[in-house]
Amino acid sequence: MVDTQSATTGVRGRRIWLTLAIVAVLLGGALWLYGRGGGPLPASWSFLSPAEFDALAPSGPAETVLRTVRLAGFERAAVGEAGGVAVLRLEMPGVSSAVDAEIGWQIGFAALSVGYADASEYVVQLFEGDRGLLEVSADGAAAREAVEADDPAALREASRFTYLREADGR
Amino acid sequence: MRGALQNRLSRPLCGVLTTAVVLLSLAVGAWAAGEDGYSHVWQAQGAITGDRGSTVQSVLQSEMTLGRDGESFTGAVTYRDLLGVDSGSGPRSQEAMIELVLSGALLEGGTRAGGTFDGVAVLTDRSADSLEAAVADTVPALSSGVQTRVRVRGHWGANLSGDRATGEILYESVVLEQGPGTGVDAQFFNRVSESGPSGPGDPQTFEVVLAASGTTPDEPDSPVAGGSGEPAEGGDARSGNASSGLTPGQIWNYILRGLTGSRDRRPIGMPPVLTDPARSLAQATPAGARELPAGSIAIDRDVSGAYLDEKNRAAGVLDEVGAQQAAGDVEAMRSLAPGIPAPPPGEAAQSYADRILAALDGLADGETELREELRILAEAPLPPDPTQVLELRTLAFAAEAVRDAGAYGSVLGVTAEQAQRVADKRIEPGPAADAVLASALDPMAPRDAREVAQFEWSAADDIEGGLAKRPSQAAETVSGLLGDSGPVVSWEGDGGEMLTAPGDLSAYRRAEGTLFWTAAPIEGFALRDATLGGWAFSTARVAVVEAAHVGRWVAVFPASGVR
Repeated sequence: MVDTQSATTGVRGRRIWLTLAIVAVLLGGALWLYGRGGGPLPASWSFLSPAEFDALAPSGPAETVLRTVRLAGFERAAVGEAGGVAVLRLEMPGVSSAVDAEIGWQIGFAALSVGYADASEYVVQLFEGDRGLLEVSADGAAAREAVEADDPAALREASRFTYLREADGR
Repeated sequence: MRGALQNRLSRPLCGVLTTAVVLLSLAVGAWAAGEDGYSHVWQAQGAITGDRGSTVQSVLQSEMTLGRDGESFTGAVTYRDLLGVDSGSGPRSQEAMIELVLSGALLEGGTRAGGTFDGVAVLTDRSADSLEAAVADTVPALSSGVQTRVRVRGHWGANLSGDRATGEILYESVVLEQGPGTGVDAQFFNRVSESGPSGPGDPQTFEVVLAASGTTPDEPDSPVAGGSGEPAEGGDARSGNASSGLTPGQIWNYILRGLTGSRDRRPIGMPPVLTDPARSLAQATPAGARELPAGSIAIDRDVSGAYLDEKNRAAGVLDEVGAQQAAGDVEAMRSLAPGIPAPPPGEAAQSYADRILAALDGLADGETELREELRILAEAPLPPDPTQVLELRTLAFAAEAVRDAGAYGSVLGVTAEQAQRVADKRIEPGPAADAVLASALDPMAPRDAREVAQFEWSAADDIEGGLAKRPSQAAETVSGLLGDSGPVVSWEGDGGEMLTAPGDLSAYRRAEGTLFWTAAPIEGFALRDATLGGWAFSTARVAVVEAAHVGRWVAVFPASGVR
C-alpha cells in the first residue's frame, strides 16, 4: 500500500514536471520567434536576427561589403555567404589595363575580409556586364593575413584563379 | 478512485491546452485582421442610375493595411475592380487598379488619426458586348484597351476604436502620367456628392484593424516604385518602435514572421533600367564560376545603390581622407602598369588573342577552355566584330593580371580601413540620416525629406560640420543634357517608355556636396548628381529623380553627357 502511494506520488511529480517543461518550451519558443520576427526587444537581443528592417542601423556583413565597393566606384555587385564561403560578384566599370582587374579583386578581398571576418574561404568574381571574366578564391585565414599585412604577393600566393566562360560554352 | 485518476491525468493536459488556447486566440486575432479593406464607389455608380442607365461592379482585389507606431501611422491600399457602364451609347468596361501609400499621425484627443496619401491609378477603358461581359474576369486578357495612368494624392482620416480604424479617403490631386486621361480628375475618384455635382465629391471609405507599423507581412510595393519588393538587407539593431500597446494580433504577427524568417518587404524604388542589369549580373551562371549563395544581396536588385550611397554619406565615410589615400594608391598602381601600343587596325583581334596566349602560363584553371575558345575564333571565316574585339581585349587584360598579380602595388590595406570605417561609424540623427530613410523609402523619414517641392539652395538646411563647404555660387547653369540638339531624357517606366525634355537647367550644390538640379520645365522631375566618390573607378553619373521623392531614380546617365 505504501509502495503504491509512493509510486503514484512519483508519477504525479513527473507529470507536473513534464507539463511545466512542455509549457516552458512552448512559451520559450514563442518568445524566441517573437524576437526573431522583430518584436520590440532590446538591441542586445540582436543575435536573434530580427526580420525587421532598420535603415539607420549598423550595416550587417553584406551591406558592409556593398557599401565599401560602392565607395570604390563599383555600381553593381552581389554578395552572399553560405557554409563559411563568402562570395562577391563585382561588375567592373571598365577594364582598361591588367591593373584594373587586380584592383578589382584586391578591393573585393579587402571588403570581404572585414564584412565576413570569420569566413573560411573568400571568392571574388570579376564581371564585365554580365560576362564573367575571372574568379579568384583564397583560404579565409590566408587572405585576411595578406590583407592585414597589405601584401598583394601573399594574396597572390594564397589565391586560385579560374577563367570564366559563358554558360553555353562560348 | 477513477475520478481522481482522471483528475490527475487532466491536470497536466490543462497547462498544454491553456497554452494552445492562448495561441489559438492569437491566431484568430491575426486572422481577423486580414478581413478589412477599402471600398470604392465610382461616380458613375452614383450618377448613372434609373433612366440614365445602369452600372455593374466586380471587385477583383481590395486589400488595406494601416499600421500604428506610437503616434505615427502608415498604411497601404491595393485595389482592383471592373466596372461595366451602359448609359445608352453602348456598354463600356473600365478596369481600375489603385495603389496608395498612406502616412499620418494621431490627432488631438487620441481617438482620431489622419494624414495624406500618395499613389497611382491605372484605368483601362474597353468596349464590351454587355454589362455582364464588361465585368467578366476574362476581359483584361481579351483586349488591351486604352490605358490612362495618373498620380493621385489626397488626405485620409479615421476614427479609432480599440484596434479598429474606420475612415475616409478623399482624392484631391490627380496628375496625368500617361494616356488620354479625358475627364479623369480628383472628383472622378471620389463618390458622387450628396450635396450636388460641384466640388470634389464625397470620400471613399475603409475599415481596418490596426497593426504595429512594419508588421504587415503582405504590404504591397510602393505604388510609384514599380519595384519588385525583394527583401532588403537590414541592420542588426532594433528601431525600438511600438514598445507599448501591442495587441495579440501584433504579437502573433511577430511570431509568424519569426517562424518564416522573412524580412520586411520594402520596395527599393528602382526603375527597370537599373534593376535589369543588376538581375542579369546576379543571375549569370558562367562556366567555372561558383554559384552565388542563396539569399545573396545585389545592388539595385535587393538594395538600392542610392540607399548605400546615402548611408555612406550620412556616416561621413564618403569624403574621408582615407578615400583620398585610396585613390592615390590606385593611381600609383595604374602608373606602374606598362603602356602598350594600340594594335594596328584590322589586327586588333589577333593581337589581343596573341597576348592572351602569351599570358597563359598554367596559372589559372580554365586555360584549356580559353585556348579552345581562341582556336575557334581564329578559324572563324569572318573577321571578329567590334564586340568580340572588346571581349578579347578584356580577356587579355584579365590573363595578364593573373600572370602579373601582385607586381604593381596594393590597395588591400586602405580598402580594409575604409571597410572598417563603413562597419564602425554610426549614423547620427539629422538631415543626412533623413536622406537615408528617404532613399530606403522608410515611413520614418520626415515627409519633407521625401517630398521636395522646391529645389532652391537654403543655407538654413545645410548640413553643418564635416567637409561641408559653402558654394561659391548659389546656382550653376548647364545648357543641355546628352547633346546639343533636342536633349531628351527617356527611360522605361512602369507604364512603358517615359520622356522628358529639359531645357536650360539650373542647379545648386548643397553644403554636403550634393548637387541638385532644378526641376525640368515638365513638372515633377529634376536632375541630381549621383557621382560616387569612388577611388578605384571614375563613375560620375547624373540621375533623373522624381522631385517628389528624393532618391527615387528614374534614369541614370553618364556625367560625360552633361556639359
